[in-house]
Amino acid sequence: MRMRFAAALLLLALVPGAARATSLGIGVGAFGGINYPVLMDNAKTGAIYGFRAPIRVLPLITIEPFWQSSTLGDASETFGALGSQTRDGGQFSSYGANVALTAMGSGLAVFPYVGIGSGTYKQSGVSDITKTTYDFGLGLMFKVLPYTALDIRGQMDALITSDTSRKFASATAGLTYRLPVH
Amino acid sequence: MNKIRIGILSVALATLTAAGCPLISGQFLVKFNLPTPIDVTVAGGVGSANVDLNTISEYKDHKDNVKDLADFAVLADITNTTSPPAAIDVEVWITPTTTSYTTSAAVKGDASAKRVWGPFHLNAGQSATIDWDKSAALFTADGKNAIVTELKGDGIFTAYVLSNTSAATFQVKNGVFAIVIDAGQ
Repeated sequence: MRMRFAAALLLLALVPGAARATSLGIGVGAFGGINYPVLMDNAKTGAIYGFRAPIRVLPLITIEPFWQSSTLGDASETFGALGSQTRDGGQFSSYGANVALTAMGSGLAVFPYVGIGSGTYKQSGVSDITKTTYDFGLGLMFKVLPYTALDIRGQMDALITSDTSRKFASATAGLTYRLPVH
Repeated sequence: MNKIRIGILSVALATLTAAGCPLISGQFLVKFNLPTPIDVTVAGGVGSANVDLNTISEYKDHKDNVKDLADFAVLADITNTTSPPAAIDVEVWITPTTTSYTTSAAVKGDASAKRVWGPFHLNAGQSATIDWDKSAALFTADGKNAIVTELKGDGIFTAYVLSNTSAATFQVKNGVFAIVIDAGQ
């Protein structure tokens, strides 16, 4: 709850800054990659993809709404004489917003970011888990065309389930189209 | 300046650990092999297994940090031997203490006994392997509470396989409890 409150305060603090900013920018991007379930014995690595809409509200601050979805790999285990059995790895999806430093900079940019959102983990045979998610990561952005950048990121997502969490580490690459606004 | 930064980071990490951080957690598979075969040869009878999860290292490693149960499944090869041939439904019940009942009526008559899994349907004469995904869906809400209580407790209980169908006989081979515990600091 305190994290949500802090995130809300941060957003409120940035809004006046956005109005005064002399070099605003918005963009849209798509990405894909691999997603690794951390310390989860009943799921394996799978694919992830999603969309982002970075909005530069200050020269060094970008707010970035996102949506992402991941289909995790099935877990395969051997159970003695019974042989190998497979468990559905499930699907993880989330949406929310990141706050990034220096995202959408010109040329090469390295940017750390943190985010908050809502996520759902679905696995066959058990109830869906829908809870608050937190994420953080580090990105690299290369300008490949005048308004287009290649975006490479390493990210950790945590779906908080009261006393524990489902955690996912992802490596993604994507393209972001930047549309300057004056 | 660096010492101050390191100090702040250390205090933050210590606080996270001491307060109990959901991030320091995981879902760990505990496999408990049932005796094999388990034969139910008399109508109204049961097959049983004394379960001691403390014999499984994955459970012992996380026993003190169990918070919840992420997934539970009964995996086995099961054959309907009912004669004359008839369809049956098989269930798994547990009692929280070690017991030695021999009839399904006695198991159900124990107020502390809970049905944790099933019913699993078998047609007349059918043999089937209960797979992980299908089995996980047969885990009951009452069963979850009962298993979580055992996981957080001594990890010792008695499991029974039985059928509601009168005259049912069946055999369970290569049975395993696949328990995914949700553990955290």
